[in-house]
Amino acid sequence: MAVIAGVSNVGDSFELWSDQYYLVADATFIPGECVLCPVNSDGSYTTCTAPTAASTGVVASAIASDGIFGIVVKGAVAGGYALVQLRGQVSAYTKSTADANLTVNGTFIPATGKFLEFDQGNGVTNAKWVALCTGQVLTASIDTTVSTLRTVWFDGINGFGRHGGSTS
Amino acid sequence: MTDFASCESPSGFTLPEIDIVLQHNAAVSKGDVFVVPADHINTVGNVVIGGLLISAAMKKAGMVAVALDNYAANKPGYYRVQGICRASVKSLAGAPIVRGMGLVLGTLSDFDIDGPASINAGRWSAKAIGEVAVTASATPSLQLVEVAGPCGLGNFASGT
Repeated sequence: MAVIAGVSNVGDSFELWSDQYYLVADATFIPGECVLCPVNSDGSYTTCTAPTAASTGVVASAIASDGIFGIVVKGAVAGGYALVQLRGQVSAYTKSTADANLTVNGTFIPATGKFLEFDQGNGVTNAKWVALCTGQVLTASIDTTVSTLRTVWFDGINGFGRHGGSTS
Repeated sequence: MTDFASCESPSGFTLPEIDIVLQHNAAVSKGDVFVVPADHINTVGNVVIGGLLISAAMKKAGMVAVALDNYAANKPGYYRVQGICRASVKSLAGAPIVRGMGLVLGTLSDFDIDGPASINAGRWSAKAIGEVAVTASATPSLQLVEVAGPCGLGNFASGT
């Protein structure tokens, strides 16, 4: 993760480098949604689409892939240019489907529904951790069916590791 | 740290290259994959580790570098730590190599795909860009890959 020098209320600190790029959307995306940036055959990235299970690292038919993910900052309709943030502090749609408490430094994985799923509650094997939770939210305040905009530390490029477990 | 450089207008991005000068104590072929020791800056000769000398621990945490050309033994050359390049890739288990698949250190200075049969919880150090059909995938070949850089892409879950 790229960091830059910053200042907190107690002195020197660091901030996360925000990488934002315009990408061609293949569907309508709104700010806060999580998208996949597919790699082209020449190694460039020019488009964004909804995340797929395989791109998050979940094994399917002997294929497990790593994707680059981003959070939409400025939305677009299909064929238009969406501004997508690949790293940094950003507001993203999050959900805790398993109704687990959101904890500081807790990890999120991309979901095919274009939100960030709290991984502690689901524990998806090999899924890429792309965001860290910045605040605590108890289950009494969590809607397990509706995703909510929350501020996260996001790294859709390298991530923060992957969920362990056994794939076979 | 990975810095992305914007593509030329109007949109998109690419992964910028990071190349460093290293050397190996044996002849190197273009596309060979090596582990860069963490103390390589302080080691005389900046020696990379390749082939059978790559330990299981290195496969889980090592930073990789790909030779960009053929080099004689003990001769310095350029190795790519991050970015697009051609590297030796195979699928020992015979599965097709698909764009986007995570690649781990293989057995002979090459990358291997890390499908569900892998049990070494290897670190994903690169991604496949070029695709290879299953009939030819068990044989190493030079393919386009995206080397992930020092941070890697996380470790594949162990499959036991």
